[in-house]
Amino acid sequence: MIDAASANVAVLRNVFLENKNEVFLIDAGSGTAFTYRELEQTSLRLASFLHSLGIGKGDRVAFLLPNSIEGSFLYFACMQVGAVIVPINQRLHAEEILILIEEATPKAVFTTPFLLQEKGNMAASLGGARLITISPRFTADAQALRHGEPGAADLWKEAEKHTPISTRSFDTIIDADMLALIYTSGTTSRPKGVPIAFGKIISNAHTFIAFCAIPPGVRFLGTFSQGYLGGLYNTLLFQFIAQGSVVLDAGFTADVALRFWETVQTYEVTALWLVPSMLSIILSIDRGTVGETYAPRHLKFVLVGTAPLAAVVREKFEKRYGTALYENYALSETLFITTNASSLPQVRGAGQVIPGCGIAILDEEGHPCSPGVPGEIVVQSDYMTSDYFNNPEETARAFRDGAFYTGDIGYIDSDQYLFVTDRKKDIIIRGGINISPKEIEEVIAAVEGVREVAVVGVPHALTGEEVVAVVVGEGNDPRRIQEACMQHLAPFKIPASIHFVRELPKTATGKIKKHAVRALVLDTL
Amino acid sequence: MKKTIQQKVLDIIRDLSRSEKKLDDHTLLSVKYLDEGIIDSFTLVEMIATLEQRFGIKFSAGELTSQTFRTLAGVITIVEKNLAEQKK
Repeated sequence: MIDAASANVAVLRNVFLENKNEVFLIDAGSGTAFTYRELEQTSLRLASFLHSLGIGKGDRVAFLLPNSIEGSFLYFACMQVGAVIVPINQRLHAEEILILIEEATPKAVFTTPFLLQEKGNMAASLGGARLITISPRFTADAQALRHGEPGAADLWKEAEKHTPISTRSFDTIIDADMLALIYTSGTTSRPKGVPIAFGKIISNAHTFIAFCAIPPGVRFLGTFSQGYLGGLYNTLLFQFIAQGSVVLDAGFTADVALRFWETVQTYEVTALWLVPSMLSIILSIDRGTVGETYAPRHLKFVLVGTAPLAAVVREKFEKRYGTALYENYALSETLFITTNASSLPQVRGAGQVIPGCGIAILDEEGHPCSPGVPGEIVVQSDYMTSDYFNNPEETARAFRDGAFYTGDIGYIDSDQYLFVTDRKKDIIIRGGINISPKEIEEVIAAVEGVREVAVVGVPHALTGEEVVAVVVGEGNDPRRIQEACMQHLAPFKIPASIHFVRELPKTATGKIKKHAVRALVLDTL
Repeated sequence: MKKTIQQKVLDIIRDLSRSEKKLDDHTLLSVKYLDEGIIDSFTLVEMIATLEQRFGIKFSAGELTSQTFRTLAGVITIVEKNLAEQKK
């Protein structure tokens, strides 16, 4: 009898087998291409290297790396040995990184000498985790290339030194095994770990690809950071399952944004995966004609996710580049839930549910809403996780009766299309990245003279939402607050503006009314 | 005292940048700011919009993707060139 586990392992094995000589990864920095065979052989050797470090099935391995071919191969090596990938965003502040390490308790941490130095040499604070520094050779991240150090491990030499592990080791992986542990900011100050099961992510990708009718051979541009789920799933594992290829760029940096269409054209990219703020940036800084000429002729799919897409941005982008945008709805906890696709009668909102997913829109009392009436989006699906890692309180709050309460507000129209309209939960989404207001509030509250603080997200044309702090206190010096934020938080979390007020709007029970604070800020602006 | 174009551009960048890195004028002018994470993609858009608004110029596609644009000294050169052309 073949169980579900071996079926999913067989899927991966077949992808390797059927695409041996096809290109899978291209380094956007150097143009160097790597085939599926090279990926398989090198990742099996790196799996052996991981074994030599004492890393085996179920061990968590943290990756604080820039986007790189080496990092991608290490992700696949982890899959080969059944180790759990814990991606960490390199833009986080050292203190934030150490919180993640403390939560995830990885057996090893891979990073670069440059990042280690930039983060204030965290080596002494990693608990029991083994630190391995590598110098990627194949990366479009200019900083990582320039600051490579000979003292760090050269993964290619490590791969050469080690004999590939037996592919049979892969057979021991079952559907329930954790493939990755993804940390996401939520309503609490500490990030929540979302366990991603092997079987669920593979089958979610398969279903999504079939639903969108994405054929083999499609070439995506990888502009998501590999320090997030998007960089691991949407622009690496997804393309592997789709039997396509990825041009791996350095995340959506200022440099990548400036040469966006040039890269797309140079590497003959045929599909994009973007977040709404990327669309706004491209529209704003593209002064040339390459995109307008290339996109209508060659782009087959432009998928958009992670934050609601404003109609005006969609229209501008579609009109200028002559290509349809397919918006979808996905969360780390659930993976893909809905999407638009050419197979659907229309392109509307965030599309319709993919097979294996179900959505209910519930009112405050937990009753289903009628079509067109907004309520909380509640998901039940074959692909969702069932808990947060070592976090029973947050698990009990969000996972109830086998369903995930997303904290997003939306409605389903009479034709079964989902529209995401608002958020019930107190988070800010800036440029597609979740930010916990509570985390920022804690830093500001510790500044001398601050009595109370509320951090909210306000609409912003470019970033989707911008972080704004509203403060009650003495002294009213925004510089001290900015400096405190710079000392403890990643740059993208630092409030764009700080407002001082005499008091914050509160409920009868003394709870700060965030909607009223937001309205206050919008009035001021 | 009237600020030079160089000082105006540096002020704009310092105002917009959320980077922890505090760089002196000389370093800030010569460093490849796009490579060094001095600004992110959002800040780049704001930087371009602010420079265009303050100086009443419009960067061309060629200028934005040129090697010259990759250092702030180069950005200043491009701004000065645009201003000089306006005067013609």
